Amino acid sequence: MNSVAGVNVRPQGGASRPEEVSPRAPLVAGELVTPEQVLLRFELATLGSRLSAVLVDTIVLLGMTLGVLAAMWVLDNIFGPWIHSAGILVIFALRNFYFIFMELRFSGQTLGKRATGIRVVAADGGSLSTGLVFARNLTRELEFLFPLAMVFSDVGVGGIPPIVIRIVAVSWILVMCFIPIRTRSKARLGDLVAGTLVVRVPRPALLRDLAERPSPQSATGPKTTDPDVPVFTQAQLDVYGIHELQVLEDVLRRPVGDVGYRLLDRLAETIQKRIGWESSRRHHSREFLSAFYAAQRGRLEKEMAFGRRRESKRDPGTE
Amino acid sequence: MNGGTRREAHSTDTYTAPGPATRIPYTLRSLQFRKEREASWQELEGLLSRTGGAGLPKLRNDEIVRLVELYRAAGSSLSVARAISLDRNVVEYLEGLTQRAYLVLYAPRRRFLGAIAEFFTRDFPRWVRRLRVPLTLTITVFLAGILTGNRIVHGDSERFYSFVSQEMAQGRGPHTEPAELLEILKGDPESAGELSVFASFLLSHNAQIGLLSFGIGFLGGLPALILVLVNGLGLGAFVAIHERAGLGLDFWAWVLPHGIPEMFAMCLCAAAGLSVGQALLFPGPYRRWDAVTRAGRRSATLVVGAVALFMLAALLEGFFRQLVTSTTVRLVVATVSFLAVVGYFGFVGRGSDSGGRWPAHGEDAR
Repeated sequence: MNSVAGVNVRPQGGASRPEEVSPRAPLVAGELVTPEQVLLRFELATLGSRLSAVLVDTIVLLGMTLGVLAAMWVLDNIFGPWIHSAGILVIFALRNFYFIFMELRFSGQTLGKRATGIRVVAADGGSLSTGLVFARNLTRELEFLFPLAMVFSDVGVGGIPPIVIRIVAVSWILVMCFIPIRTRSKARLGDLVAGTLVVRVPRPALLRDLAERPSPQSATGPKTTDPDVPVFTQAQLDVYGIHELQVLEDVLRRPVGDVGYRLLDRLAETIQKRIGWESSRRHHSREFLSAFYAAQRGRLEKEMAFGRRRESKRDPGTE
Repeated sequence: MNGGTRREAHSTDTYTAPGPATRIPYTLRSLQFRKEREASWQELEGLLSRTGGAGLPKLRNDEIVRLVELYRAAGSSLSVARAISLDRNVVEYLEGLTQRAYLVLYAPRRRFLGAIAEFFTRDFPRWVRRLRVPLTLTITVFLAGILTGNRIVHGDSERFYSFVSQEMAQGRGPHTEPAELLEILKGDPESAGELSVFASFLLSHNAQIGLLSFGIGFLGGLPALILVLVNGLGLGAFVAIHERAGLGLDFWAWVLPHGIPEMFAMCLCAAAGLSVGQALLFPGPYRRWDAVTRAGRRSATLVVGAVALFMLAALLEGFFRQLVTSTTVRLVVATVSFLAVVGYFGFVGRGSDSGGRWPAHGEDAR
């Protein structure tokens, strides 16, 4: 559905979705609508980062559990059996409340999540409430811990032999592992139940606007005060679309050493050939590209203001 | 779409990159927009970087007010940028900036301990009252289980072993001598130290069962009921063998002080699970999955309260029961335990109830 009633609604990159977004509108995974009715597109945490977060947390938990056990062993002679009960309680609390405590105390981040730069948010866009945190973490018991205990237990339940229970437990765990792979929002069962998302913590930086100055000072190129800044006609600016513009932006934003002058030269050449650009004066590639970027963006933004989004060069768009 | 033809007059303009001021034929709207707002974005970014991971408390009051203003402004900038700007970096930056502000402003507001306090003084009893229908059901099933187990074992004492596992029985059975049964009921005050270990074991064991019975509630609620029924049958069987030995009252005195919070917590867990199953089958005005998640969230929090009840029960079981052997005192404590459950779930936090009916707590704590 690229085009509905002549209006492009494809949600892509920095593209705009229809303005009126109600909480009931089907959202793409990772999107949520804040109480201020602003649509935010979070980047979902990758399965890899979530797995590493869980691993870090598991190691921390195991470390703390071992610490408690060691303390019990050391203090045993001094305090007697009471220390055992305290120890069992502490381990119980760790097992059930570590994640909950951390996610409440450190705004949706456990140690592992902090290390991997991800955090929990409420999928309905509201506040991450206590209830959500409890719900998403208590289900861990059902998802993994209890079946895992079953796998290692020798006790048959109600006459069912242990081997059957083990098979059931293992397949249960496999199903639970399969859920995040299959769901669009990469959600654990606990996330589905609680209505939470795990997203990447955003850290973007505001870079300079490329259209502001024609070109950065480059060692070999001409100075930017050159009056012969390339000039384009409208036909030349109707060749490419938003996709190409943003690829160009991407190239121009990289440090020159990274891209290499050869690539810039080839890019400039390709564009010049494609739009049929001729000039009496030979421009430095980077200068040409910057100027083309600014002009192209101006053209496309103006079109956009009239309600026409030309997504790419293949888009028949406004012709 | 032929909109282009209408604007031929304009289209003869050539587009040039904005160079030095004298040569600018026009300014990019998106660039102008950015220049107007950039300062406020950077102010917001400054405030955000100062909050770090700790959230709002690091800011002064006036800064928090400013943060809210700037957050709204950033949200509106984001909407505008999406509509008018093709500078991907700006859109992504605003997206990230708004997200970060959102994350700070909508972070969990209460601290762990504060949340716990509020939960026990208000939310927990309130939510239990809302759950009265499934709770009545689970308690009824539990009581029916006790009665059935009791009758069956009275009829054929060998059936005791169908209801009670070896682990639970701890050597007790239909052939145990009354004196031996009495010994177990009396307990041994000397062994209180070891009993504390026993108590904490009981706690994590029982609580784990409670969490489980809540968990399987997601499978439609039926397994939770079965779990409650099985527990009821086992208790009924125990009662039967003690009654045959003429120790019926002593057994109740032995089991009820901790049994009331414990059995109530178990029924509560099952009821919480049931309410999730209920939402699955009868979603009401919500979409099915939404109904399930709503019930799931509420119920999961309830289960935490139930764990606290299990904790209380384990303390009573591990210490009180072993240290106090008088049947009369035990019965008094059982009564207190009963009244406490009724009082707590019937009355605490009522002020914040939104016109709820008088709950049927007669059934709640039976």
